[in-house]
Amino acid sequence: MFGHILKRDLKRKKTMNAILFIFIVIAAMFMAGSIPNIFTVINGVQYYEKIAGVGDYVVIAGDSQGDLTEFINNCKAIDSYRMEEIVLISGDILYKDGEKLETRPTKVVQTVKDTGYKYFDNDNNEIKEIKPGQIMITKYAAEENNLKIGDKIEFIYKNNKFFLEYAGPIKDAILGTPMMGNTRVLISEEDFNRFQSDDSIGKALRGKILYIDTKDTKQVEKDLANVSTIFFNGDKSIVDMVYIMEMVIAATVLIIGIALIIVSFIVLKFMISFTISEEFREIGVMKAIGIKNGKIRSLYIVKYMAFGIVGSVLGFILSIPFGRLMLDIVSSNMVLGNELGTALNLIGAVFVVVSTVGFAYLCTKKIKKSSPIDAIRNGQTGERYKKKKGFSIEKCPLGSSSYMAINDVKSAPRRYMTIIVAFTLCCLLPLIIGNTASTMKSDKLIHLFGQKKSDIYVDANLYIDQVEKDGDDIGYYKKVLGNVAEKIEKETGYKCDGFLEIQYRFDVSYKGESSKIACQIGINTNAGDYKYTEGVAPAAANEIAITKMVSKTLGAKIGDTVTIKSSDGEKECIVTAYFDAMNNLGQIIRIHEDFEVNSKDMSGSLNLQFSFADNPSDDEIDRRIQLIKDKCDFENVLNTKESCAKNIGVVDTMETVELFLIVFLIIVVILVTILMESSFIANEKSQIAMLKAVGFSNGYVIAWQVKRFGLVGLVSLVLAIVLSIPATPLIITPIFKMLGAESIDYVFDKFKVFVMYPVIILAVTMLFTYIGALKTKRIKATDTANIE
Amino acid sequence: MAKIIEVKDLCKTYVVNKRQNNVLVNVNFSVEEGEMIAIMGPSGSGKSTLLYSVSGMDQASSGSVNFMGKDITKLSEKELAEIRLDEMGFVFQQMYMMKNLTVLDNIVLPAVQSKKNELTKEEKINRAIKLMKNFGIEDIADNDINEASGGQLQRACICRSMINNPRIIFADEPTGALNRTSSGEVMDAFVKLNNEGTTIMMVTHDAKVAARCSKVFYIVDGNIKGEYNIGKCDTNTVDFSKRERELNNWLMEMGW
Repeated sequence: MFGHILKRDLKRKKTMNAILFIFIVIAAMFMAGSIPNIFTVINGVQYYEKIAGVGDYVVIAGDSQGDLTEFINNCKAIDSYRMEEIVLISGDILYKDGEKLETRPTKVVQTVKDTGYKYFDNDNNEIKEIKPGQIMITKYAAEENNLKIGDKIEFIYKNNKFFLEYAGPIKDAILGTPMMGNTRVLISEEDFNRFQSDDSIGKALRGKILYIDTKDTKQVEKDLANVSTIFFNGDKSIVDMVYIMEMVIAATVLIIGIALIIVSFIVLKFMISFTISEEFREIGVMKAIGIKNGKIRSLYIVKYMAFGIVGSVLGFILSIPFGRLMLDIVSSNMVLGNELGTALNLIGAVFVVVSTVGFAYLCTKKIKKSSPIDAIRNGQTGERYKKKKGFSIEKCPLGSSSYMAINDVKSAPRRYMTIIVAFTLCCLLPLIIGNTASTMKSDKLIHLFGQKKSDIYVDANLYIDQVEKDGDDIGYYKKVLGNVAEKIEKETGYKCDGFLEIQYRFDVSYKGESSKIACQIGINTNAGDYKYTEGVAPAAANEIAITKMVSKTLGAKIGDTVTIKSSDGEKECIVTAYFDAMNNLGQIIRIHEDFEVNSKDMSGSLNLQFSFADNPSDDEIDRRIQLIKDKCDFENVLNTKESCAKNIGVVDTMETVELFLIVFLIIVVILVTILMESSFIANEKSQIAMLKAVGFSNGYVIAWQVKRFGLVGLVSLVLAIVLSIPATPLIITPIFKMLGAESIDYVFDKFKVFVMYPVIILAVTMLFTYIGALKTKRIKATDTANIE
Repeated sequence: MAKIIEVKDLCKTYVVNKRQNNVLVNVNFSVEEGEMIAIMGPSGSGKSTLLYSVSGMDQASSGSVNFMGKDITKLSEKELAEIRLDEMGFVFQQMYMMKNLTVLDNIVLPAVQSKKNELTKEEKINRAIKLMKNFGIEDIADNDINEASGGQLQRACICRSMINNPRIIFADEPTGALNRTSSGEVMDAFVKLNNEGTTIMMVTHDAKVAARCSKVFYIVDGNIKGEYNIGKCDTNTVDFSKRERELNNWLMEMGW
């Protein structure tokens, strides 16, 4: 008998059942697709490091004096290690069609050997060998230069000059992000040997990368203090941080996943509650003929369980390509995955079945309250008399269709609140990402890269190479800055002052804790010119400012005295301030301009900075940049925003994610809108037929439906906009904090976030409500005679 | 009295599963202003289809329906909607109302939408309240529709049908879902309206209801088999039992 009732139910209520089923499929697809993605993203870096063979500690060092080999032999804390032979080259060595390729300052040239450290291609397959005549380049660098497989790349270094064919990008766990400042170049063993055997490559350029497995990273770090030429050293936590920006992006998958789960469950609960509430007549009839509450309840639970099982199976199948699609979009520099395969998808799908049954169980509680009278009197009891106060057609200054729309929302706040919550959640995501992208693209973050704001940022390596070095670093770079400023003035007529940041790598210790830390000094600037978050700027040679990350590493705080060991000996310095910095992953110290430095300790410099004497506007600066590019033969000239974006390195990806989120949001909005609208129309068929019978036009009915959803969309958007202001720093600041930046001034692109996106979302909502509401045309005035 | 409706050779055919079903076959009749017509007949005879076709809710297959000088079978859906809103009123067996609106808002709604109705919004609301008072339901003006009895709701539907001062009210079994008391209240309301000059055309199965009308059409197999003139019903003087008895006799002759 029950089977018969169910069969009839499926046949008779096709529309509502179909809508409910689609929602279950969507919920299962989102749930089953998002759970593995959340798991994958949370463990993303660890998984990548594990499959790549990164180990617990990484060292990139020169080995000209054999001290690295000595370290490997003597360090007892090393359990095992993998080692690669590399050649480190500063300056430009790769050219395409005569134009140099944009790469990071240091190129790590090597071949692929079976060392245990793995590289991956674009399809996440391991790269096992490079064929003679071929070259592969770190993925972000290949993308920055728009390289295509088959492109001819000219490799030029001193006496070496040969053409190689670009064979694809490398996914590289250690040097795979712009934050590491190195570009990996893989060539074949034959080409590498030929290149390496050239006498023009000095011993100093030859080095090794060590991937060390250890349980005692502190001891490894201590033993490493005896190695003279270290380019990079750090434990897993530092390598993890290299991917923090990729993880910011990958975290969007996590946020999307959580939001999708919430949205799909809100909507699913709504649909089940909605469909059951529409069955009061059937329930009343069953009660009238003596069927017990439990039996009636089980009838509905069985129906929803059947829907849940079939829908979840379908959702599970769809979740596999859906989940992959989402990961592919955001994880271009990483190999993301998990070791559990589709088991997590299955758990997600099962969860949807259980939830569907659970919701059905909760919603059918109302059956107890439903009486046979509900069936007989069509839900109208006439027994309760109370006034409905407040809003009425009389008080509404808008048209009657607007009044009906507002009144519907006001009359069933719980129903519409469900849609508002779902829409608000969806809209909040792109707004937060939009705000973050706007901040990253702004000039507000320049201080986080240890730089004082200037008008232009210049890469002029070729020009610098021509300046003769006759004296100390400071004097040399002052000469370089003077020459470049002179050239700019000569070529463009604009007078400017130059300054620059130079980094030295010192062994810094405090109360027994020591670490090799980059120390930054400004040329033509004073320590007082920079932004400090706490304390006072260093005012003497023995005063320094440190980041919170350095404070954490050493345990030193403001007022403490640390020891800096340079080639000239040890110096005691007092910590006078904290500052924020993201370069060197926050492991940086600012030293006073009077601090005596030795060229031997120098590890690198940032780009040349110039400020024009006449304080030009931003537009004028851009115009002058173009002029400098045209007249001067510099590699790169950027404004502050561009320099920030280049330093962060993921702004483009962030914008892609932002676009993806908007497109994704629009798809979800379309889906929810059409399905919800269809369910409303099915529910309101009698009312629509009545309106038409008494002379209301199709246009009126459609306007009522569109305005109602438009109102819901508008409320959701206003909520999302308001919430995005506190939500952006709340969600994003902790991520920057991990990188060493606590003081972020967020930039809200008012037009994009507060006008453009909301207008697009609202327009899409209303358009698809309109399309959905066109179905009301099929409801005829005569349907008043056919409606039950 | 002027003819408000003139129906000529009206046919309505449905095709179901490739089978042609002639619901109305060459129906001819006219309705004069101020008349109160009852359409009776066995189930499936085409009563409701006739009502819907004459009122422009449904499209006739052929023939003409002249309403106030206009052949409404030639009008577009939009024009028909305008006529239904401004010139006609409708009452259904089920008390269809907008679920989220109050009873008063439901009644006022067609007036707010009507372009013909030139009253201000306040005047429209006052008219609705006056109509509700006339039908004894002013107490439920601000109530939700599920907080009213069936009789009250049906009277509210009659108020709604009256709000734009229609020339004619069409009612499809208006007392079909009501008990005897409520049914009596609703019919009293219709008679009152008719006595005030509103033309009414209703479908009913109930001879007691039809006995209050001035004319009865008996329809069988899609055609009017007979027409019975009872005359105007003055609630103060009329002998309802006698009218009902005479009508029943006629109906029996028709095969009721």
